[in-house]
Amino acid sequence: MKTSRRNFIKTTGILGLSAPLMGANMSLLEKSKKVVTATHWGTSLVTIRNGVITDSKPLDVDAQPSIMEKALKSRTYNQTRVEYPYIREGFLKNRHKSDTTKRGKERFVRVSWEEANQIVYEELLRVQKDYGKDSIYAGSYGWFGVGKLNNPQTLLKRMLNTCGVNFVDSKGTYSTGAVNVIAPYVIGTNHHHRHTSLDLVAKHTDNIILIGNDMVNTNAIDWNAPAHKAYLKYEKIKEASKKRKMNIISIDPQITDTSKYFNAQNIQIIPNTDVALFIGIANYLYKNNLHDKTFLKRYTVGFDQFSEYIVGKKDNIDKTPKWASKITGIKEDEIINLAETMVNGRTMLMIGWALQRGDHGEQTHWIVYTLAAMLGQLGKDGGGFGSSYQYSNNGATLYNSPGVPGITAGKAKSLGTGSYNTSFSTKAIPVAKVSDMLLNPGKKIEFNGEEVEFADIKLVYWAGGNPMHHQQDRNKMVKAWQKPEVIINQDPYWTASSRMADIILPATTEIERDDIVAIGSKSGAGIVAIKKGIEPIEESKSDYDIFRDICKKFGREKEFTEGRDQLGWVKHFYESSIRQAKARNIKLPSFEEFWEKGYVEFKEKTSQADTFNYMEDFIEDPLENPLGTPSGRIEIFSRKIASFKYDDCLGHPAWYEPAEYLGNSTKDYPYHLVSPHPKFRLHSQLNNTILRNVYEIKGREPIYIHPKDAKKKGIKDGDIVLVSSKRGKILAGAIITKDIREKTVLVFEGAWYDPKYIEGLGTICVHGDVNVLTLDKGTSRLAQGNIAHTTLVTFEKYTGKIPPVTVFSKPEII
Amino acid sequence: MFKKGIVLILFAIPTMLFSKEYASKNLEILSMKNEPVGVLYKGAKVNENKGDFTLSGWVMDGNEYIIFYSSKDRIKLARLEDEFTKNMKVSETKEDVYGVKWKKIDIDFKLKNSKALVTNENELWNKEEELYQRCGSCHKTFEAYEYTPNQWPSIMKTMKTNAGFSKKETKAVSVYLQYESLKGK
Repeated sequence: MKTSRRNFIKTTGILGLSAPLMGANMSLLEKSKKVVTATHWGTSLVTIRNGVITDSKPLDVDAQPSIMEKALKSRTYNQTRVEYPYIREGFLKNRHKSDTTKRGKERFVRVSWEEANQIVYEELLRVQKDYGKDSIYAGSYGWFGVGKLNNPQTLLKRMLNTCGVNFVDSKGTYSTGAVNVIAPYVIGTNHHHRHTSLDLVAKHTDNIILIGNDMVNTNAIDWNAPAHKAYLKYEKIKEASKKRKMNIISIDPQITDTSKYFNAQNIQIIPNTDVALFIGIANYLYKNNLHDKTFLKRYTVGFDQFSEYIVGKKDNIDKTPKWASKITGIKEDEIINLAETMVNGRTMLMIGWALQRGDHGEQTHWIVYTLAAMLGQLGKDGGGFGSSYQYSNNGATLYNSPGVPGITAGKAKSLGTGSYNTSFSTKAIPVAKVSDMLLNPGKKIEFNGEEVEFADIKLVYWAGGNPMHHQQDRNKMVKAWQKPEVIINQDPYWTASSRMADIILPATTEIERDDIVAIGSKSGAGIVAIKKGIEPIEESKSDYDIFRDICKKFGREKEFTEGRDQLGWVKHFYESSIRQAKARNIKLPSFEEFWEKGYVEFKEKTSQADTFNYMEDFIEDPLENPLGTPSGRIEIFSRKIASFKYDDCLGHPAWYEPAEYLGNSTKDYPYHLVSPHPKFRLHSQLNNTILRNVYEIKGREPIYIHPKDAKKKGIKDGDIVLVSSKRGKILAGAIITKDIREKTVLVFEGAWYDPKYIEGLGTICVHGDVNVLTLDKGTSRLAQGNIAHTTLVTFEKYTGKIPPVTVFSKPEII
Repeated sequence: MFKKGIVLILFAIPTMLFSKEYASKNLEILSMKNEPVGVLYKGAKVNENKGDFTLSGWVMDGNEYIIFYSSKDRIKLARLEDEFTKNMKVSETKEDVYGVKWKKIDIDFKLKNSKALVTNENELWNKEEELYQRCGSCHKTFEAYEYTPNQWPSIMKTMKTNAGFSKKETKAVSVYLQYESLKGK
């Protein structure tokens, strides 16, 4: 804790936050106030002087404040804020007959809110009337600003449902496309299951195996506001590892922050080959009779099919540690050693989500669940697996707390005019299939045992997300984005997604609106008020107000608001929390008291606050407490999946060669590229803030290159590098480091897309958006998740004239 | 006395006119001697026969105390005291693909509050349907058929804290989604 606080202050110094503050008129010592607010990366007490933010500091409820909290002011007063409603020039002139190839290239015209709302209304009506059902895509996705009312994606659906506008939705997420689908088949629930308490891990676990898991980094963010309580447990584990023998092993091509924090042993595996490693270990355990047969018999089904596979009964490939060694680049002895270590102590397999964002990503969690079953330690203190220790501080102390409900999308309502179809669309797509859908209307794909037919989309409405960052294969996507007649983007910023739209509606950030959210998704640490501390920047409006005003055009304002204003909704949610608290014998302050203080912290622990043992009840009595699978047990073989007859996802976990990896690399693209979650951002959020100064190299997103690879290419620290894949090119700034394995490079996801035409190279991203390079392909026909981590590239020192990065200033506006 | 009699008659008429079948809340099961012997769970369907009731379902061999909707779809219909399970009439036995032995059974009993049975299935879940919308405040809500009746309780248990569901609400919404899931797409 002390060290981290020191680091926090140190980095604050680097950012020059003690310098005179932007926007604040220091000579006028007018009214000063302090206001509580929250983001996905912190809870803050904000000082506001003369209506302007001057400072912010983390609330005490935050166990380990993130440096990102310091970006609050820079994020609010930012060059890239969309200050007024805008319309693309060609669209304003020709509406749906405009030249859509001009998206991202044309100037924007400022319009009034009245005009913008009228055009949105007319376009929604026109598309519904001309094309009918399944012509509008509202599968809008992204992390948006925190708040239970101003959830733009839910509000967007609420608006459309309220106004009787039919839309096509999306399914699943970019983060968990594969695990979200495979986990319910195998363990009967999703990856959000509560994990074994980290206290039990600190006390009992001998071997912590981090598998593509950088939890010290990724737990800085939370789906609600973070309490960062898991960090207290990391300290405990670290202390424990000094006092007793504990093996902390990180299997990852990167030496992660987490690995460094725990001083872990690193196994720098060839990217995308983890499944082969675990099959090799399974083979060793099986052949040496080290697997827990009693456990497998009682708590699992299908081990026989799996064991036949690992010894190669059908394909004649005995998948031994030697076999795995060739694929993974890890020595045979090291694999055997790892297997022996796992079986000879209490082992906790902590798998992150990075692995399942690779080709055949379904297999990674499946094989880890299988291995855990073979070790037979589930239900024993500190043994088993965790699917998501790296997300929202899973495994931390759980406090007795009520939930905070939020705004709902409601159900489709008819306007009674018969003019448009109000029934639900059945054409929802796996979320990462958006480019494919737009480019191939009418095409059918297989997905999780069903067939999905792509709708012919004429209008896209996106709110609170940045698809031009998180979707793979940017160049393909730019083409896809030219297909619809209308694209509406609602966001506080001129992200690439705003720049590629026709109608841009300016939304506020948290500090400009009233809202409420829980603190600590997995710890129940408290509830925080998000209080409007300053007036919205220029003409921006809260997402709630934007959608309310659109509903007004349809004559449906009352149905949308249910007679409540924003504070009315916040109070309504809090009152539900009070009722829940009562049932749990927790005393909550009145709404007025809560709003005045700004937050409430829960300190009473739940009965299993630090002793929760995942699957304990199932292990105790598998009949009384079955898992949610067809058999009620862990399904090493799934009859259901096998019944789909997918050759890219059989009925048991298996090794499949990825579309692109070092095992099939070519002369043209001999390096593997990985793109993990960034340290100083939430995906693409905050890339436009002062934090950029901490990590960028010559204004570009960094690329990690191993010294040996850099030497071959004559690249030095700080050089600008041109990185190319079959799909596109980006510029990035070189960091030469052994933190990445040889033949592998790393670019964190989330750099804002800044396309520029360069003679001889075509259109490249001059800032370093990694998804220009990545492959847009589904994990398999089962989950159709994205495979961002499955990408081969090449790179060289960039010697041309260095183009400026302009994505952090406004586009051309008239 | 007189007035009370009229009220009773008024209540009795609709009960006689309609054959009420679905438990609209958890109901206490009584033996034929009117002793409490179990719980009939909300959503379970019973057949009435002159004031007595019959429940059909599936039980696991050796663990007869929970009656399930089917051997495939483990929706709990009722929970009985061990002693009372002896009154079950077995009409069919089978072994599922996982080697578990199942028995199809009927059992007769009385209900403490048979007025809480309703005829129309659609009346059952209005509150739960509304509660379920709360899940949409964090993520896109799933269509019920997207998970199986077996999966829903585990999914709900995993996610309940985020929605701020109490234990009771979690169970109620789970059962609603189990029955919805049965309906398919």
